[in-house]
Amino acid sequence: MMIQTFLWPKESKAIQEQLKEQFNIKLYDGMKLVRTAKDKIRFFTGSMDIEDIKQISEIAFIETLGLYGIREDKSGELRLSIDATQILNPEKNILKLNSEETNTYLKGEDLDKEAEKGMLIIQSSDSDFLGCAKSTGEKLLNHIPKARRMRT
Amino acid sequence: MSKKPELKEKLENRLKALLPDPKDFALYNETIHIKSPNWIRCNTLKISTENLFKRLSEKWPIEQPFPEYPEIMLVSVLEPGELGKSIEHILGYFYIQNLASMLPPIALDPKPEELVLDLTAAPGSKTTQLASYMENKGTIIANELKLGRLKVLSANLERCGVTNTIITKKDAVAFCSRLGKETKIRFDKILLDAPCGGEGTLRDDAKTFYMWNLKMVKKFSRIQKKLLATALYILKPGGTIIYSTCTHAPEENEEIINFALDNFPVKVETLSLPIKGRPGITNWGGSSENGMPSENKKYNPEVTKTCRVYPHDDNTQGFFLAKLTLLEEVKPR
Repeated sequence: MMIQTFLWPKESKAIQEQLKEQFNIKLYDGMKLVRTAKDKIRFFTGSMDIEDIKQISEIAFIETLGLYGIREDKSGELRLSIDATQILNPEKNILKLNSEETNTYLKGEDLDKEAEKGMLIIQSSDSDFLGCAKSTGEKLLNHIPKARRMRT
Repeated sequence: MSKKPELKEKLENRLKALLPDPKDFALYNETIHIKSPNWIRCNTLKISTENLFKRLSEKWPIEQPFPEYPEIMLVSVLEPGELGKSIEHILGYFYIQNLASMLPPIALDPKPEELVLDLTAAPGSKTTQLASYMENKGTIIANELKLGRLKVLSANLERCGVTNTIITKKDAVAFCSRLGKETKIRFDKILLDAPCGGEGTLRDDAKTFYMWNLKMVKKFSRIQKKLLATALYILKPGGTIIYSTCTHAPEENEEIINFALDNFPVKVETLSLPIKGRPGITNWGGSSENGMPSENKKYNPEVTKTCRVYPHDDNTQGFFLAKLTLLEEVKPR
């Protein structure tokens, strides 16, 4: 059973500050953060208040709220999902790939590419945001989920 | 070469009764043996209609047939599966969705601040369309009972970047009934795209040719009445509900709306849609040997405001839609 807990203001503020610091991202007004696992956070923009959501959860199993957006990496960095990078317009720590690299990356393969160490937002040669990859300095570790990879 | 599937005799007789002009029926019968064209809907939560049109037009011939609905596009692709494998689809820039299936959210016309229920939401084409019209604001409750379908719904909502939706897993009748009795939560708008016999999907899903039977039509009709009745418990007075099916059977369409008019304070609204459609019928039956009810059923003339969508009229799948407004609160029973 998935546990879904709205983050307390203090924790939410810390995550928002880290998003700003890492990627220069500002969340939309009213966007709430929901923890669904020790290291996973979702974005919820619904206007329904928490008491009403609680009442619904007493009647029906709540599968999910909003959009899967963040995974907290063991390093302490935040890793954004493909969809989160597309709706949040990041401005910092973005690595643009060329056409050949984009095709390889979209197939789910790691890339031999020198870049600054740490969590980077990957941008395709067509300027599409493709989520985050972790750079070791010489290699980009691919995080595209299997279901979202390009099939040949 | 595989044999062309044929309509079962009773289904053919029923459809001939609905389309009495032989030329009209012949055109219908021809169309259901031709696959639907590739309709897609731009996901405006992630990309503008202008940008998507520009990107796709570099790959395939593409049209925007309805100036008032630029998100609706018609694409000519060469290979089956080509659209689904494209990067724009993988990234959630568009949803492959038959034009007929886009009609219920268009008719519901949800606004960004509203509380909307999509009662039988999987696979999520209509939920993502609602979220797009609501600009990820307000709240959508997207309910689905079956686990496999729930996973597909969830994956589609993620792909389309939907943030304003709560996905619930519950039997739809029990969900509405308990919400009505145990809470004060009432919805501005409800989409009830009811489970149905699927006669409208013949051109894209040949198994309906073989699976269709009259027992199923009657069974769905009973379920649909229950669904609509309980959904009305949790609609705000003045709120609207879209009842839709992808079937032509009057027992699953006009009869359900007639049932609502007989038992609840509802008004049937005139629909404004990008296609022509045909008005709902007011007479059905009188010929049991042809698979129709033995008695001739007469429906409330208000059901002529509902819309029948036939595949050969607008090159879509077959569909039915009705828009109801609740005039006063309904006490849950």
